[in-house]
Amino acid sequence: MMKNRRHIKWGFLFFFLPVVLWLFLLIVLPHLELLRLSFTKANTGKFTLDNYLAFFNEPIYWLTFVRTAGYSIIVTFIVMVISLPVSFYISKIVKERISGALMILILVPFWVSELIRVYGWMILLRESGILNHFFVSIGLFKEPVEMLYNDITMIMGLVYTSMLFMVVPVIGVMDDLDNSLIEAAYDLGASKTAIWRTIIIPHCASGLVNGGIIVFMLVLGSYLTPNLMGGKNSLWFTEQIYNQIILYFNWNQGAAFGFLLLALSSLIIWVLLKLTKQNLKEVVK
Amino acid sequence: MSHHRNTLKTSFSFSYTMLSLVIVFLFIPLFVVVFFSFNSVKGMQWESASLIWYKTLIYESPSLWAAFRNSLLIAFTSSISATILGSLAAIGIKWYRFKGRSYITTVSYLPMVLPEVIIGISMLIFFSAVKIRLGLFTIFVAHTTFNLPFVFMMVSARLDEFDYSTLEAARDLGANERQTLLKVIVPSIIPAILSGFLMCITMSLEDFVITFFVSGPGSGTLPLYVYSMIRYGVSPVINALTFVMILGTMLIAFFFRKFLKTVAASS
Repeated sequence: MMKNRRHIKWGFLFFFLPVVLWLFLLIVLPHLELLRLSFTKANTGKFTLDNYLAFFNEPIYWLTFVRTAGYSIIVTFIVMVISLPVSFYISKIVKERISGALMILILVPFWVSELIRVYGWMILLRESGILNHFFVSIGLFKEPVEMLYNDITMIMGLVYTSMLFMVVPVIGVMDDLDNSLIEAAYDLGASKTAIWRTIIIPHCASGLVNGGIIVFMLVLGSYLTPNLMGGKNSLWFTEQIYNQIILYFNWNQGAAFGFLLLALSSLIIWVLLKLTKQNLKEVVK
Repeated sequence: MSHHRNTLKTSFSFSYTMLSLVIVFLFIPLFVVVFFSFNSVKGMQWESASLIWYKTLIYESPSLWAAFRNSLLIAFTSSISATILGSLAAIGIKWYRFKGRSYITTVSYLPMVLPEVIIGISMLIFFSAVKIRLGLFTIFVAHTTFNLPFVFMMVSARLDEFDYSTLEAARDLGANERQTLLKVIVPSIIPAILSGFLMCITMSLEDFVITFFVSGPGSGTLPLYVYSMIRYGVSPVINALTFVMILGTMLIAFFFRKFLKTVAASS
């Protein structure tokens, strides 16, 4: 690499001072403050564990937490299952030119903001929405049914908004898979499930894990989709944090919830990374 | 080969079905939004084609345009500052060896991996602790912070594949450190800096959650406005806005691609 560099002090300061200051002031300090708040009592500022204890004592809090985690895992799994055949088709079956076009076709909807995509589902599924009009007019429904604001719709919405982040890494690893392996297995009479199970899925494992981590982080931390598509009973943990901070103005409790969310996402990601022996920097790229 | 591709094709028709379904699934909501922007009435029943919502969008939506102006202002200012900070850090990390390099790298990736809600509340709490009033300035600061890692990552990636023998060549030909930096390194990373900048603009224009926490009265950006409009009702103006935004994004993406190619070719 670069040899014989002279260490000029001012040059060093010029490159790093702005960034170091910025990151320290706006990332490190605020998170330390958040951590401090989570361990102190509102008003008095005395040390306490109450904010964390409240989480375990109030079933509504930890139930929201467990449900959010569980649904995030389910969404990640569904996205994996959908992405495998889609990526396989794009990467292995169609001609190169068409696979490029298909890739763009899958990317285009993600240029539109999440808000608008959710809005599209809202006007489709609402009680006064398009699907209801259609089903009532053809006589399938006697009267409009509310299809928005429930868990299944919310899961569908989360799958919708996070799918791209799985398809891209899976196509990436699928491209490296040697076609002749599949062809050989096929010629030797392997069944389709055997080909998937013993060749394709093991080969794509790293892409699936990378995509899985990103999708899981996004879904766990998402706010808009659960907020707009979920019902009264499908409160997401991020909404719980929002409620504490903005509605109840209980910053200490909100801060504790924030750290619990952070702990959960770090833990699950750490486990996945350990299982697959990778590091986070590679995944983010 | 083509024979084998054909056997693969017929034997994996399941994948084909899935792909078709996924594409339909991805496009249905967008298609619906755009289609109903041309409806003449507000409900979800098709009456007749009309451009009335486009007219309303252009002439009778002052608060929407005010929000859009806020969004543009913040996107440009925060992207410029994030691009400068991120590029400097990326060059610096390559240029200097010192203890604590890895800490800077790790911390600069943090805003990318932390859940948005947590960045949002930590900044809200911080701004109120140092008594800065929430408004355009706080949004600008927040956007710069979450944009920074993307520029840093893209410029670092470009520097990683940089051919360092050109640096030795520059030095052998008598270039000093500053000349090497300005005439050799900077031109080669300009495409990465530009891509990073464009990425920042997109991220900033789209951000909802962090902005939600750090905005004050009157400083709402376009996503906040759209959210307040669609939360409880149907708003055909938003449908019209969507179509305009889709066309705008495609146009910008097209020109930017061309522009990037020219830049890449000339450097």
